Amino acid sequence: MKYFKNRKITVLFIFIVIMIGISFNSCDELIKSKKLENKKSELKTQAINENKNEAKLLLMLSKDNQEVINLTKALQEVINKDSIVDLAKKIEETHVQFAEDLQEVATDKLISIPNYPEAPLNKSIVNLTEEDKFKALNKLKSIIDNQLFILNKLSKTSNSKDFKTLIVKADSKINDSLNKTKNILNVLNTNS
Amino acid sequence: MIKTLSNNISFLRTTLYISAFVILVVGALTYRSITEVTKSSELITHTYKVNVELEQILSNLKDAETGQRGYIITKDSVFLEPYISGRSKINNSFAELKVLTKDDTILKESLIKVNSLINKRLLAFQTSYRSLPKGDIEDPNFIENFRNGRALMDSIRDNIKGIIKLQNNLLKQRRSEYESDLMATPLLLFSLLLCSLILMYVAYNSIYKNIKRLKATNEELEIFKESTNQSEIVSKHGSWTYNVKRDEFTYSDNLYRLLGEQPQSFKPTIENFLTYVHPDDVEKLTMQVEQMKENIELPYIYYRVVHKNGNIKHLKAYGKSVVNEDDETVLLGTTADITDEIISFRILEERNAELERNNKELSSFNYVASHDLQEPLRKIQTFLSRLIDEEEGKLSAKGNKYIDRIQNAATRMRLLIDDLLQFSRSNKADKVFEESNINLLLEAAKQDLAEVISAENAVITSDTFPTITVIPFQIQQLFVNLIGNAIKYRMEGKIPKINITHQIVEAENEDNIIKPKYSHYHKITFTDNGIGFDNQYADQIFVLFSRLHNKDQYSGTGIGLSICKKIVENHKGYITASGQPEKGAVFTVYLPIA
Repeated sequence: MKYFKNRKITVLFIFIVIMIGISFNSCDELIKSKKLENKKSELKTQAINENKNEAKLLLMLSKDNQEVINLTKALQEVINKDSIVDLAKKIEETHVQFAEDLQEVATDKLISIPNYPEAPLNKSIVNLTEEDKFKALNKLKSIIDNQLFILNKLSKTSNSKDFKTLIVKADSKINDSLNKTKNILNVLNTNS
Repeated sequence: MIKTLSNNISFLRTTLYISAFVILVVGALTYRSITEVTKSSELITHTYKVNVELEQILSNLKDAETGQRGYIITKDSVFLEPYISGRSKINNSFAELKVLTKDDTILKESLIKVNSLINKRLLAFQTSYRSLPKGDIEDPNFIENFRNGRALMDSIRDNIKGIIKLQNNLLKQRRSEYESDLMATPLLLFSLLLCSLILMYVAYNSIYKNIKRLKATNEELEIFKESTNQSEIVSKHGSWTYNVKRDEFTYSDNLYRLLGEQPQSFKPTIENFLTYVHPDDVEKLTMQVEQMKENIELPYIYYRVVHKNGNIKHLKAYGKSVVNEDDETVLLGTTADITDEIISFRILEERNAELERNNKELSSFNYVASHDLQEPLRKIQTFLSRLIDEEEGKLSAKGNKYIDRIQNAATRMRLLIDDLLQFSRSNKADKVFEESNINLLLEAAKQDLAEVISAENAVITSDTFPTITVIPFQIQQLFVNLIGNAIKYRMEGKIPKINITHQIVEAENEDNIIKPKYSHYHKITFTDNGIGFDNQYADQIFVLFSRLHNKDQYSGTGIGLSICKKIVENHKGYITASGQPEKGAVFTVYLPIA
């Protein structure tokens, strides 16, 4: 404390402390800034990859959904039993609704997906023969199953709130569709 | 000098602070500029990336369109590959854009619009080739679909171009900001560095001047130090300092010499110093040093020191406290060798005592002699008077003549003795000063001389005097002597006229006053119209028994004016005389105003 009585020494001491403080701080700032920059860049890349992945999954989901709609439409044409037609109809309605939900999310998320409700039907699927219906139903079942798989994957990979809402909303309905498809298959197998 | 240096130090300190501040500002601005430049660069890169991704989207669409046309023409599904993978590629670009435009809502809105158009366009592709009748590209529905697709494609292109234009404008703006930053930064930095350089030059210049001045001052100080050393040796004194806080002494070289030692031959401590002090004075000096430490002052102290060769020296010391720049109290002291003065003083004292003794003896002799001389003289005069009364007729003419001469001699002897007694009294008298009315003293003097004045018809005129602090009977005597003198030395056939004036004068304006002790004096002037005298005798007339005329011409003893001088001196005044033969004399008396 004795030295602090000397004004010159005190001023010099404070000046040196300030200079050291500023130097350390600026160095620290630079280091932090560099780290921050790297982290930002990393986060950016991660966000882009996440977006790409989401877009990819949504596109797959959308394509599958269109396939489901097409198949149920075709099945309604070839199946004679009303109760089964109704089931197919319900599956179609569920997936049309799902397509609309997908479109809504995709628009918001800046993802391009096929706008299937407006698209013409794929003739190769629509013109089913009686013999093809089991194949078509099995295909339907596997596509719906795949949709559930994609939904599951999406729920694991995406952190988006919109996606989470969509998945929660769609999951039970698509499960329901799967069950309905299985029912149709059972009924048809029993009748044959 | 010290003030100038102090001002310069303040100036240098200010310059240092300003320079430090400027450097800090330069640093901060540089940091800021570099950050700004980096930001500008990042923004430019960002704009380029957005543009590239948009161009990529357009390119993918074009590929899809080309592929579709190829498929329509060739029916080869290979051509559909760009269309099938196009959407995924577009989505990848969108994924990038989404991150790039995270904070730009306008751009995001535009991109959503573009996305919607792309969806429509891709749907149009699908509709178009699915609705195509086999090989019939002339089908109106197909053509309609194809045209719709083209319109959508144009719309997408326009939108993307719009966004790119917007981005380019933004890029232009950013580049201009970036360039202005790049332009302004060096200019600013250069200006600041220039300021800093100017400040540094000014500071350097000031330091250089200060050093030169300090050097000159140091040389002067060296000379002064040497001359102080010399003067210490010549005047036999030494100096010392005592730092109260640190309890430390420093002694000058000559202080060691005063102790009979070589300069700096022992550590300057009070204990070492006391070993040289006379044993009888050690206790007293120790006590005085203790008091000095307590009071931070040292009054004049006297003590003796004993040199190694046995010489005893008398020293006198004095100390005064000062506060130095570091806020420390320092006692500055001087010690002088007063042995010679002490010896001289003792001799002087002895001589004074002897002189006083002689003076006393002389005075008493004078008094006694004068007094005792009166007795035989009285007897001479008495018996002479009886002789005349009883034997006057019996004496021869020669006898009578001798008796006359004896009588005259006796009378003169009496006068001489009276004057001597008076002179002796003026020496001896108790000097009691009183506030006196000088007018009354003058009147009393006139009364004393009434007979003579009346006999000679003398005319005396005088001013009115103020009261003056004097020894009254002496001043009266002064007046009697001076007036009597004027009447005695009157001009034959002329009525004696004496004029006495008074005025108050300043000592420095009077040539007659030499080495005055007071600033103002009463000036009393006695002017007569008597026989006067030659000015060369102006001083001689005040000398005891001094006479300008022989006793046959003018009676007198030559003591009167000596008494006047003595009286004036008793009053610490001055008396002067001036005269002109046959015209008159002027006596001037100066009495101090205390």
